[in-house]
This record gives sequence, structure tokens and C-alpha cells, in this order.
Amino acid sequence: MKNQTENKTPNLGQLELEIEERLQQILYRDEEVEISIPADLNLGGYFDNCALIITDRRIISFDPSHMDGVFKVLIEEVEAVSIRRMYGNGIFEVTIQGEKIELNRYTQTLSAPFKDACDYMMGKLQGAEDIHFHTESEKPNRCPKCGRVLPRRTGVCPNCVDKKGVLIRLMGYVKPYLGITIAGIICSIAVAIINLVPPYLTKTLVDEVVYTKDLQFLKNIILWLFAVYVAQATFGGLRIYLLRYLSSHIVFDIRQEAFKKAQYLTVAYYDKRSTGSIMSRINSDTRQLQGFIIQATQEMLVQIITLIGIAVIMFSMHWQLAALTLCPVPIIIFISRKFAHKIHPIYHRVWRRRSKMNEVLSESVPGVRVIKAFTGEDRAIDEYKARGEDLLNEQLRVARMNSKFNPAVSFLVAMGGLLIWGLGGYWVITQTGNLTLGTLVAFIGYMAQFYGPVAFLARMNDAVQQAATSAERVFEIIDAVPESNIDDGIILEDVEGELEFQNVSFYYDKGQNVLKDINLNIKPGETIGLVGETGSGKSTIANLLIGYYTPTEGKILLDGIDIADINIRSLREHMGIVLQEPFLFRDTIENNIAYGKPSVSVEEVIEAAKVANAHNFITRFPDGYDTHLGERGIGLSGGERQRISIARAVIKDPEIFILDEATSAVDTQTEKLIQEAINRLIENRTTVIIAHRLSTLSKADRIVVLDDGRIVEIGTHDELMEKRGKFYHMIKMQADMGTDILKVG
Amino acid sequence: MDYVNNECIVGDGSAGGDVMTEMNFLDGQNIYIRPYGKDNLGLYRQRCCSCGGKRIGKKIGLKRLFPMTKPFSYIQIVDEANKEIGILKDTSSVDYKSQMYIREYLDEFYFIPKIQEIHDIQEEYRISRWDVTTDKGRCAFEVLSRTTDIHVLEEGKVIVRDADNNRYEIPDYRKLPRRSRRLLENEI
Repeated sequence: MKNQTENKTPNLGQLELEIEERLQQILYRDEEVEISIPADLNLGGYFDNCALIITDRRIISFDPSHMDGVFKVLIEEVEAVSIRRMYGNGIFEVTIQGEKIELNRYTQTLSAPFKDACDYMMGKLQGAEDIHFHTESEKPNRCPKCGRVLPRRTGVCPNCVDKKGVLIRLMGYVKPYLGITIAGIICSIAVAIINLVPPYLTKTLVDEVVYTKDLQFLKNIILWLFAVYVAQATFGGLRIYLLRYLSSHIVFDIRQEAFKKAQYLTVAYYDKRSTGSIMSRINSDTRQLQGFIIQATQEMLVQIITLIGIAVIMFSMHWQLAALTLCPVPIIIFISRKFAHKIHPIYHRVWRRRSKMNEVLSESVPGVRVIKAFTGEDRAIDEYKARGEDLLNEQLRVARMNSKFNPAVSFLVAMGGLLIWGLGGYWVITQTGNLTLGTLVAFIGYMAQFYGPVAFLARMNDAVQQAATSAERVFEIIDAVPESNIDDGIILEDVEGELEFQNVSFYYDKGQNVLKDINLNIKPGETIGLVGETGSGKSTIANLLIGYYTPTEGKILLDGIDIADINIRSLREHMGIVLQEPFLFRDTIENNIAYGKPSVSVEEVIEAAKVANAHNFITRFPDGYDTHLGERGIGLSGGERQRISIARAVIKDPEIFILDEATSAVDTQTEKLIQEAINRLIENRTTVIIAHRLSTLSKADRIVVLDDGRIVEIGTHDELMEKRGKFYHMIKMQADMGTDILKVG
Repeated sequence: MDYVNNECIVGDGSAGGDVMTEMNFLDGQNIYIRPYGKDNLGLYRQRCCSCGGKRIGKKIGLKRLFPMTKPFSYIQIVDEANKEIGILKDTSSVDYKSQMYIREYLDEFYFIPKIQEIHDIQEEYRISRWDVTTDKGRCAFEVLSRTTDIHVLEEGKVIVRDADNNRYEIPDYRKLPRRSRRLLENEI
């Protein structure tokens, strides 16, 4: 049967049964459904179950606004199809006899399939052959396996990838320290067993020594107790050290792995995350894990052994009294579990509030100059205070809950004690319960130890939850999809430097193409100037070249090889980039220049500084090349920072250079110095200069003019001036403003 | 854009160019909005002495400059080429009919359902799935991150962004039913 939707139709979600049935009634016998998309809104703008069906001959729309709830039109009658994109929703329209008719409305969730359906239909109307409906392969935020929405940051489906469970995985980090772990466990078992001895010896002391008045026995018992306490202290101390050693090492490993992974994450990952949040994951969450590892690996073991040991001893000593001791246990477990359930979301909130507070901190400290310049100190203080108060309130909530829980448990334990003293005392005094005073005293001793593990184990779930939350956050970084081709891909050896853009399109947000169908060939050694208004896509071209992002369509070839196939490190080794906002590390000028090639000689550093016109100002500093730069190069002017970054690029000696508006923020004199440096730098190298000031293009062989993500003009300066197009007008505008007198050679 | 140059409307028309440097606030007393053709709105000038009572219509679009915080203030009026004609500071400054057309247009253009009740919030793999009733009907959606997708604004207003970039609004979460509020409080 051709007229069924389940086989060939792209599966974009299930059509409502009612619609499905109506569709089957409407379809001709040999009519083939090509696309069926459920629409989640009706044309009135309410959530509803509607649908758009495209068959080999008709467009059929189901919506209550249509007469009888359905609209059918033959494709040959349709003049055009279009999408009216609005905020958070869109409308699919067809034009019939010059009139636009709204067919279906949908939320942002379905914008991609409707857009693709529109493209598909337009292709069909224009008589294009070989048209495909390709939304199925382009549903980026759903797991193709299970259909769950994918986390924005990782892009990895947690249901399909991480079957092991986050805690088991966490325990995997214990493996390299198996010896230490076993030693720690032995110590823990020893401590747990030793803890059981003193009450038993106390029983003997009361029942046998006090009654028999045997001094030798007393001496022996005291010596035994002394030995027990020595062993307790020794094993206890050793256990604490081993625990610390183990947890510190594990956390060190996790932290290193997370940091290492963070270095290889895509730029897109950082675009979507705040610095504070990433820092919090690597710092605070790993610290949280340290506490959990201590608890989970050995503390839990001690508590379990203690619990079982005491239970066995107590029941063997006096089962009736032991049974009595167990009375408060269910209540303690119930309260503990209830407490854990309640406190869990609050812990989450504490984490979020802390993260928000850290964000204020991580923004206000680096931005202190801006804050001061705009006298925003009070606002910064108020904001930090507000965030701090939010955190404080949540922490107080935790404290309030703890203040109820802990005394409640203590009260129950005390009640258990009272019960034992009361009944046990009665049995001892009346000698009716087959209970000695020593056994009673020992019981009280064991009981004090017994409820601790009960409460601990009941609350273990809470600790597990907290640790799982932290572990998940850390693993999110570790599991995030790294840049492609970090370890594989083609390793470049001799690079000529020919670059070719083949039908390159790119978007940061789907549906909003920043680059549209870019075709450009750059010959080896050629200098290309990219000009265009802000937002025209100039910097995006640089971002694609350096491999920060990959084209969403088309490809970029370097010496005929698709850069998507090239090892990303190898690609970047052959590329140098000077950014508009140079980033300098908190290090010496020498190390900043040598950053790209740490093994470089001092002579090369100085030579690079000279090429970059940086040597003169560096030598004016008392500490010369040893001058330690503050955060982000504070202490240097914008032009000085720029020249250091150029020197850094010189050291790298790449075949391809990208200069992103390198002189946009400096005065004319400094610009001249930088320009000189750039001219020396780009000689015989393939260079892409992104220019705002058109004077930067004095050495460009060709100029590419971008407008709204498309190349609108390309040619030499003279050709473009002659053409009197966009470039000509830009030159005119800058000349009118008196900023530049252009001499392009 | 002849009507912009007219004395009746504040501004000299420079706002229609590439560089917008002047604040071009439109005086609600001097303009009104009515349908223009079948599916569009037009901007009209009130009759006055200098324009001799002539009305000039133009196909326009409306955009909220502050869609979340000031949905009916600071409405940008753009022409067919998406160039700014001017900004209407407050929709209540125009006549009642114009207000109706503006509201109708914006309500259709901006789809931001208002959450009235939260039935359930289930979390799986730190992605929360919300089941809610909105002023546009009942729906379910996923929220990926509490930190970046849920914003509490002033006076209890909450903006929620789902995994597909749809926005939902809670006008004042303090006025939600008790259970809804409790569920929400775990998320914010």
C-alpha cells in the first residue's frame, strides 16, 4: 500500500489517531504520502493536534480552522509555499491564485521540519529533481536512539551512553589505588572490630572483677583495654591518613581529567556556559566528591561492620534486651529517609545559588576596571549581596532542616537508652530477666554505638545523591563532545597554504545563517582582505578557518584537503591568528611571546619582538622581557598587548595567517607600528585580514566584500573602486569621516 | 516614508536609514493603526492642519523591544524592509482601536504561553520534563538547565525556556496554586 504514512514518511512524531484515520479516508488509492508533520498548534494559537501532509499530488492540512477541519489542494494549483516565522512559532502558508492561505501553525519545536517541508515543496514547485526531505538527519537536540532530548552542553544522551551509572563510574577511579584501598579497608575492618571490644571488656570488668575483687584480673583487663585503645588509635590514625591519601589522589585525577578535557572542548561549548559554572564544576564539585569517596569507600564499611557486629554481640548476650534496642530503628530509618528526600532538592538549590554567586565574582573581578569607570561598585556590591543572601537563605534552610533532624534522632536514641536502663535495671535488680549488671552496662555501651550506623546508613542515600549530583556535573565536562580530530585525522607536513571555500554556509543558531554559500579560492602566499559591516560574517570565516566551528554546509579545503579531515592540532600548528582582543597570560613577556613554541631560544623571542615592533617598549620596562604581566596583560596598553600577540604569532612561523581586526582599537601612531609589523609578518604567507579600518588592507592582493553572510564583491582595490559598489561606498564613507586615506597597492 | 517626515510624527526619517542615532519616539496622539490590505497593518497619521486631513497608510510590522519585561511598551514599528519607522513608547497612548490591533498583532506574533498550573515536574538525567496548563492549553516540554533556562525576574515573573527554544511565562509565581508553586520552587 502506497498510501500509508508509516513506511517512507519521515518519522517526525506520531500523527493523532483521529487524523491518521481521516487521512486514510481522504487519500486516493494510489496516492503516496511523502511528508507528514504533526503540528502542535492550531491556527488560533492554541496547543492542539494538527498536521501537514504532503503527498505526491496534494498538500493536505488538518486544522480546526479549516472547513470540516481539513484543507486539501492539488500541488499544481499552488503557486508558492512560505513560512511566516514569528517569535516562538511559525505559520506554514501556501499561495493560491495570488492569495496566501495559512495552513498550519507550530511552535519552535517543529520549526525545522516545517522549514524543510517548505524547502522541499519549493524545490518541487520549481521542478527540481532529486529533492530530499532531510529533517530526520537534522534533529540535533534529540537522541536518534531513544528520542530523549539531548543535554545542550554535552550533546550526549545520558540514557544511551552512560549505562554503568555515575557512582560505579566514580568508583572506577579507585582502581589505580587498589593497594591503598585494600590497606584502608583492612584498617577500617580492624577499627570496626576493635570498637566492639571495650564494652565487652567493661562487662567482664563489672561482672567478674568487681564481684570477685580479683586484682590480677583487674590488671589484665586494664592492660587489655589499654592495648585495645592503642590499637584503636593506631589503626584509626592510619585509616584516616589512607582515606585522605586515597580521596585526594582520586579527586586530583578527576580534576586533572576534567581540566584536560576542558582544553579540548569546542568553542561552542564555552559559548553556552558561564565561566563560573565551569569553574564550579572543576573546583567545588570535585571537592564534594572527595567527601563522598571517604564515606563510600570505607566509612560505610566501618558502619556496616559495626552494625552487624553489635547486633550479633547484643543478641548473643541478651536477645530480649537486643530486641528492645531495635525498637527505635524503623522510626530512625523512616525519619532519615524522609529527611534525605526533602533535603535533596534544597542541596540542588544551594548549589545553584553558590554557582550564581560565583558568577558575580568571576565577572566582577576581571571586570573591575569597567566597574570602577562606570562607578558600578555599589551595584556590584548589591548584586553580590543579593546572591549571597539567596545562598544564605538556602543554607539556613538546610540548617533548619538539620536542626530538626539531628535532635530528633538523638532524642530517639536517648529514648532507646531510657528503655534499656528502665527494663534492664528492673531485670538486674529483681534478677528476673537473666541479666547481669555487666551485661547491662555493656549493652548501654553498644547501644550508643548502634544507632550511629543506623542513622548513617539511612542517610547514606542523601550523601549518595549529593555525590551523584556533583559527579554528574563533573562528568558532564568529561563526557562533553570534544573537538573533532584531536587524536586522529590527517597530519599536515608541508603546507603550501592554498585555501578554498566550497559552498560554505554556517549558523550558530539553526535557521539564522551567518554565512551563506561562500565560494572563495585563496592562492598560496596571497593576502586576502575581508571587509563588511559588523555582523556580515567576517569573524565567522576566521573561526571556521581555525577550526573553532565547522561549516554547517559545504567545506573548506587546505591544499585540497578538507580541513574537517585534518588533525585539528596539526591544522592549528600551521595557522597563526592575531585577535582583535589579544589574550595574554599571567606570566612574563618572554613566556607570553614564546607561548606557541615553548622551546624557542631567547634570541628568537627578541627577534620576534623586533619584527612585531614590540622590542622597544619591552626594553623600557625595568624588568624587560622578565616583566610579569597581570591578568589578561593588564599593565600594557592595547597596542602593546597587540604587538606582543603579533610577536607570539611570529614565533609560531605558520604558513597561514589570520588577522582579525588587529588594529581596530589603537591610535594612528600605534596602528602604523602594528601595520609595519603585520607587513613583515605576512610576507610570503597566505593571509586573511579581517579589516574594519580599510587602511589595514594596504597589502591585500584581493579584497572580499561580505554583506549579510554573502560575498557581494571580490577583486583588487582598483577593480572594486571602479565597480563603485559596496566597497566603494565604504571607502567613501571612511574618507568622509576622515579616518583613513587608503592606499592599496 | 513621507509620513515620517510629516510634522505629525516625531522624527526626521533618519531612523529609516542604516544608522539609527536618533530616538524616534512616535507620538501616540498623532498616529493610529488600522488594517492595511487583508493581512497587514498600516500606520496612519491623524488629520491635522499641516497635512490637510490627508491620511497616509503604510504596511508595517511591530516588534517588542522588551518582549519579556515590557510586552506592551516600547513597540518598534518597522516598514516592509524591516527598517525602523519609530518607537511607540506606550501602546495605551494610541486610540483604543489601535491598541486592539496592536495587541492582536503582538499576541499572534509572540507565542509565549503563560503557565497557569504546573501538574508535574519529573527529572531524568538532570533534564526536567514539565507538564503544565497554559493560557494556550495544556502542554509538556523539557527544560535542559535550571541555571540557564529558568530566569526569575522582578515581581515573581519567571521565564522558562524549553529544549527547543520555546519560551513560557509565569506572570507571578507567587500566585500559582500551592502545589505548582512547590514544584516550581525546587527548580528556581
